[in-house]
Amino acid sequence: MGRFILKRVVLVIPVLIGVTLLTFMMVHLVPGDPIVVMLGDRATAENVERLRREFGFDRPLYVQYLDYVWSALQGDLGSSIRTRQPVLDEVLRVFPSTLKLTAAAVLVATVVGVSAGMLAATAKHRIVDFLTMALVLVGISTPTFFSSLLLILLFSLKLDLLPVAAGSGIKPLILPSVALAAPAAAVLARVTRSSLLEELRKDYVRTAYAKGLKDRTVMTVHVLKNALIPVVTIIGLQVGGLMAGAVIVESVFARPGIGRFAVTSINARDLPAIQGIALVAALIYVTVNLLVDILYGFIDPRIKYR
Amino acid sequence: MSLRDSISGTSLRSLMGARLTRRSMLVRAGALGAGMALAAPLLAACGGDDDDDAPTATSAPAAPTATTGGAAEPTATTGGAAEPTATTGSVAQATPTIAPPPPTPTPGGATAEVGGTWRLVLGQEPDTLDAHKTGAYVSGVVHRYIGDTLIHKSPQGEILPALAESYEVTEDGLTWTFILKDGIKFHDGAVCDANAVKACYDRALDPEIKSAVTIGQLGPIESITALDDKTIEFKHTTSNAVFFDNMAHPVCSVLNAEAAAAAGDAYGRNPVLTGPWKFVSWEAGVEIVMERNPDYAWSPQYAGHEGPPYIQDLIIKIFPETATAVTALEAGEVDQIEINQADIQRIKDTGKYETIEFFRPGATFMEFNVSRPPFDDINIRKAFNHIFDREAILDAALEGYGRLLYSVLPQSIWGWWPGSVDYAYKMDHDKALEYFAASGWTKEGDKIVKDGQQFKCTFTTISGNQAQSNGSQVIQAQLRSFGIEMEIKTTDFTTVISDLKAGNYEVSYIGYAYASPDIVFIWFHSSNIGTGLTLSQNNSPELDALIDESRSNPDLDRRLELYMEIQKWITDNAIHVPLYEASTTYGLQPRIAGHLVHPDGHLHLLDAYITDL
Amino acid sequence: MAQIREGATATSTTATIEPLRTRASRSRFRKFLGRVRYQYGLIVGGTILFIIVLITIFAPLIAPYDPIDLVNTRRLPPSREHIMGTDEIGRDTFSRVVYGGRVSLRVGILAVLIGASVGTLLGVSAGYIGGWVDAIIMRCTDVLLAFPGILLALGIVAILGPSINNVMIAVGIEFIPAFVRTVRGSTLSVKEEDYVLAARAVGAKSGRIIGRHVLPNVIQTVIVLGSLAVGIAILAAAGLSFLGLGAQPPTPEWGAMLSDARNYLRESPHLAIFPGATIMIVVLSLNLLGDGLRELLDPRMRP
Repeated sequence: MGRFILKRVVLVIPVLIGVTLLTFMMVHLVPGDPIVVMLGDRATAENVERLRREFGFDRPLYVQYLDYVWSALQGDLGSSIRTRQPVLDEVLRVFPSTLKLTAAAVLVATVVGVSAGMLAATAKHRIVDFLTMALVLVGISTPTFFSSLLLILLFSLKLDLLPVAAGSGIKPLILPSVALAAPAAAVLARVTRSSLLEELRKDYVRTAYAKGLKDRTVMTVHVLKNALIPVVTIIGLQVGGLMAGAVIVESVFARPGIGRFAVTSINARDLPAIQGIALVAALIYVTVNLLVDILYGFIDPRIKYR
Repeated sequence: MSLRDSISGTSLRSLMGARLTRRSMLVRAGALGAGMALAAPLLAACGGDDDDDAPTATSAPAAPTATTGGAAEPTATTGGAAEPTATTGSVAQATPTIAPPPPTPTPGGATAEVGGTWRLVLGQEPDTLDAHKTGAYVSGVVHRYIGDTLIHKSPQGEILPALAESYEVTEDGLTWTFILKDGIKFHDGAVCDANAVKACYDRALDPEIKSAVTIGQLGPIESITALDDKTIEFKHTTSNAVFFDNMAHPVCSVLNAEAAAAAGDAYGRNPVLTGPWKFVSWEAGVEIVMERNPDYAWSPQYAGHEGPPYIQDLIIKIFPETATAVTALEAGEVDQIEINQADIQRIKDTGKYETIEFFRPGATFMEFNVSRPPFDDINIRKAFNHIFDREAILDAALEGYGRLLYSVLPQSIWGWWPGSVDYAYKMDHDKALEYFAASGWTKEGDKIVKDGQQFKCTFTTISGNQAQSNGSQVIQAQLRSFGIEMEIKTTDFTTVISDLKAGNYEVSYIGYAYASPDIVFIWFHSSNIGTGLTLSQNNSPELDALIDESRSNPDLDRRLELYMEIQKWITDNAIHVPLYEASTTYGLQPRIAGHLVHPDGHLHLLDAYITDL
Repeated sequence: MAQIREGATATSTTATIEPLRTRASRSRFRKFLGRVRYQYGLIVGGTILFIIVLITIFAPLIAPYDPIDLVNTRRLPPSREHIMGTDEIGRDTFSRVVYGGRVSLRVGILAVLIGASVGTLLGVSAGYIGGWVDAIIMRCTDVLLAFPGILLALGIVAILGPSINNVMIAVGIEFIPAFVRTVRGSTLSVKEEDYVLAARAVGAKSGRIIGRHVLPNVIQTVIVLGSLAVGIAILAAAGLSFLGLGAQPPTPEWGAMLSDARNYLRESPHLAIFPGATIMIVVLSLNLLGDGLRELLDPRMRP
C-alpha cells in the first residue's frame, strides 16, 4: 500500500509543476504590459519602472518562475492590488465560507444522488425509474444560476421559509447548498444507477440468489459495496466542480467566498489575486483527486496491481 | 516656535509637492475678511461636508426613491408627526439645503435605555478602515460610528465642535487653532491629546502612507503644531475657505497613529479611534461588528445627551445585492436598509416599516471627454444635449425615484442655481440636427453621417449597477432612433475611474456623492486633470479663475454668484449632459427612536435607542 | 455551472465509446434507422432542438419586436401584446429570448468546434505517435484538468478581458482535455486493429492511415461528445454572462437577462423565468440528443 500511495503522489508532481507554470504565465499572457494593467491610473513611467523591478520583471523568465515557486512554497502569493493585503490572507479569510458551502453541497449531492440512483435501479415499476431519470436530466440541464433564483423565489420570497442572506447557522446554508448540489446529485444518481445495474447482472449475484439469499441482504452486502466504488470516484470529481459552481452560487446568494473573490478580482483586473486564487483552487482540486485515488485503492485492492 | 514651524513647514512643503503649488494659486491677497470664523460654520450649515471624494456611481446599490414633485425636503413616514423642517435661521441663504427631520417622536413613550442591537445594511464593503487610505463612502459611514473628527457636522447641517471644545482662526485665515476636550481616550485606552492629534495628521501627510483623500482635505498645510496638551494649530500657506468643511469629513477622523504604526498594513482591519462605538470585528463580506464605548464622554456639542450612546451593539451587514437586503429586512434579519427601487412601494404598502426618503447630495451625468474626438467639438456636445428625453432615462434608471438634474450642482447642494432649470438644454431634435450640420454631419435615411460614415461613439459605464445598466441602454436606444450608434462598455468601478482619469474614454456615465459645492473644484479644475477627478479633461483658465475665487472668497453672496457663473459656464460649454439626482429611501424596523438622517446620508444614531428592549 | 467538467468527465468515464469497425454498409444503415425508432430521447430532443434552431434562424420573422428597441412601459407582466412581458427598461422579453438563441447557440457550437478540433488533433497525435509526444500532450491535459470546471474559463476570461467572444474561446479551451482524452483512447484502439497493422506493414503513409482509418472511426466519438458538450458550453457561457463577464448590453443573452432579472425577482419573476426556462429546455434537448446518439452509436452502453 505504501508503494501505491508513493506512486500516486509522484505522479502528481508534474501536474503541480504545470499548474504553477500556467498560473505564473497568466500575468505574462495578459495583453499589454501587466504592470500598466495593474497600476491603472497610477502608471507613471517612474512607478512602472519601480514596480517592474519590485516584481522582478526585468529578470529572465525562468528566474522569475523559480522565484515565484519558491515564494509560493513559503506561502507568499503576492499582494492583492485591490485590497493591498497578502493574497493568501485574503483567500484564507474567505475560504472557510466556500468550504462550508462545498461540504454541505457534497453531503446533499451524495445523499440525494445515491439514494435516487438506488431507487431507480431497484424500482419494481419502470415508471419510477423513468421519472427519476427524467429528474436527473432536468438536474443536469438546469443552470445553477436559474435554480438558485427559483429557490429564492419559492422558499424565501413566496413561502418565506428560508433566509437568502449569508449568516451564521444552518438555515442560510440550505438554499445555496441545494442549488449547488443539484447537478452533482443528478450525475451521481446516474452513475449509481448504471453501476448498480451492471453489478446486478454479474454472476455472483445470480449465485447468491440461487443460494436462496433474501433480496435485501444480497443488495446491501454484496452489490452495494462493489457498485459504490465508481461512485466514490465521481464524488471526488464533483468536489472540484462544486468548488467551481460556488462562483455562481456565491454571487447569487451574496455569500462571501473564493468564487466571489475571484469575480471581484477579475472585474478589478487584480492579477496577483486571480493568480493566487487559480493556484489555490488547482492545488485543492489536485489534492482531493489524489485522496480519492488513494481511497479507491483501499476500497478496491485490485487497483494496486494495475 | 517660529523656528520649529519653519522647519516642519519646509519639510512638509517639500512632501506635499505638486499639491501645494497647485493650491498656491488660491492666494487672494486681502480677500479674507474678519468674518472668517463666523463664515465657516455658515458654509458648513449649507451642506459643506462631503461624503466621498471619489465619484460614486450614484444610486448604485443605493436605491433612491420617488419625489417627482421635486421638493428637496426629506420626509419621514410612519413616524407620523415628523414634518420636514424649514432650513434653520442661521442658514437663511442656503436655499435648497437638505433639512433633516427632527428626531422621530418616541413611540409609546418608551424611554432611552442602554442595550440592544441595531443591524444596518451597506451595499458595499469598505476597502479599508484606515481613514487615511480610504475615500469610499461606506468607510466614511463606519467612521461616523467608530470615530470622531475635531469638528462635526450636526444633523441640522451646522458644523460644531466635537473632539475640539472650541477653535479660533486668525484674521488672515491662515492659522486655525483647536482646543481639545479633556480626557479623550482612544479605544485602546491611550490618551488622545494634542500630540496624538498631531501624530494622526502627520501620518496623513506622510508620503509613505499614500493618503487617498485625507491629505487633500487638509489642504495647503505649512505646519501642524501641538502648542500644549490641549491645543493644536494648523498653519496654511494660503487661505483655504473650505478647510473647515473638510475637517469634518470622516477621513479626517482622529485615529491612534501609534496603534496604526504598530499594526502596519493590518491597521485597516483593526482601526483604533475615539468614537461612540468601538470596532470589534470584521468578517470579510459578511459584517462589521461594533460595540458601545462605555467611556465615551466627549460627545459632540449637538448631541441630545451627554455620554455614551444607548445602542449596545451596532452591526453593519454587507449585502451587495439590494434585492437581498429587502428580503432580509422583511425576514427581520436586519434593521436598516436602503430599499431597492422596485420594492419601495410594496414596502411602504405593508405599513410595517418606517421609511425615510431623502436626497443624498450628489448628481449623475453623461460626461464628455472634451480632449479628443468626437466630443472635442462643442457642436456635437450641444447636439447631444438636445437629443435626449431625460425623463425617460430617469424613469428607467431609477424607476422614477429621483429628479432631473439641470447643472453640475443638484438642488440638494448649497450653491445650486435655480435659473439652470430654464437655462438647461431641452430635447429638440431639430436643434440637434442643426448643431450636427454645423460640424458637417447630416441625416441620411435614419442615420447621422459624414463622408458616408455613421456617427459612432463608446459609452463607458460601471458594472454591477442596475441604474446605470438600465439608464445606459435607454440612452443607447434613444441615440439609435436618432441615428447614432453607441457602444456600451461596462467595467468595474476602479477600472472605469482609472480610464476616465487618464482621459481614455469618449463619453461616460458617472456621478458623484458630495455635499459641498466645492465639488466644482474637484470635478472641473484643470489642476485635477490626470490625477484628480477632472474627468472631462477640460482645461479652461477662465473656469479655473471662477473656481479659484469660489474657494477663497469668504463672502457668501459672492460665492453664490460665482457658483452660478460656474454652472452657466459649464452649461454653455456643454461639458456634460446632466441626467438626474437620485433619491434614497431608508427602510427601518420600527423599533428605534431618536434617530435622524444626517445630511451626509447616513443615519445619526448617537441619541437613538431601541424601543423594544 | 458545476456540471461543465463533470458532464464531460462523466461522459468520458462512463462512455468510452468503441469505434465501429467498418463503415456502414447499406443494410447496416437500415439497421441503424431501425434502432433510431426506439430512441425516444433522441427523437424528442432532436425535434425540440430542430424547432429551436428554426426559431433562431427565422428570429426576425418570429420575434414581434426588435430585441433592443424600447417598445412599451417597463416590467409589464405577460399579456397578449407581450407574451413574455417587457423587461426592466421596456423591451419585449419574448423577442429578446428568441434573439438570445442566436447568441447562445453560436457560442455553444463554436466553442465546441474549437475544443473538438484542437482536441481531436492533439488526441490523434498523442494516440498515434505515442512516445514523448503522447506524454507531453497528456501531461498538459492533466494540468488543464487541474483547474476545476468554470474556473479555467474564468481564468482565461481574466486574461483576455470580458466579452462574449472571449467567453467562447475560454469555454472552447476548457473542452480540449475532454476531447484529447476520448480521441486518444479511440485512436489507440484503432491503431491496434488488424487492418491498420496490415496497412502499416505494407508501408502505407501515416497520413493516409490517419485519414482513411483513424479519423473516420474517431469522428463518431467526437460527434457524441460534441453533442453533449454544446449543452455544457451553453450553460458555461450563460454562467459567465450572468457574472457580467460575457455578453455586454444591449445584446440579448439568456444568462445576462437572468442577471438583470435578479433585482426584480419578487415584483417581476417573469423576467427570470422565461430566459431561465429557455436555457433549461435547450440544454435538456441537447442532453437527450447526446445521450440518444451515444446509445445509438455504442449499443453496449445501453444499460
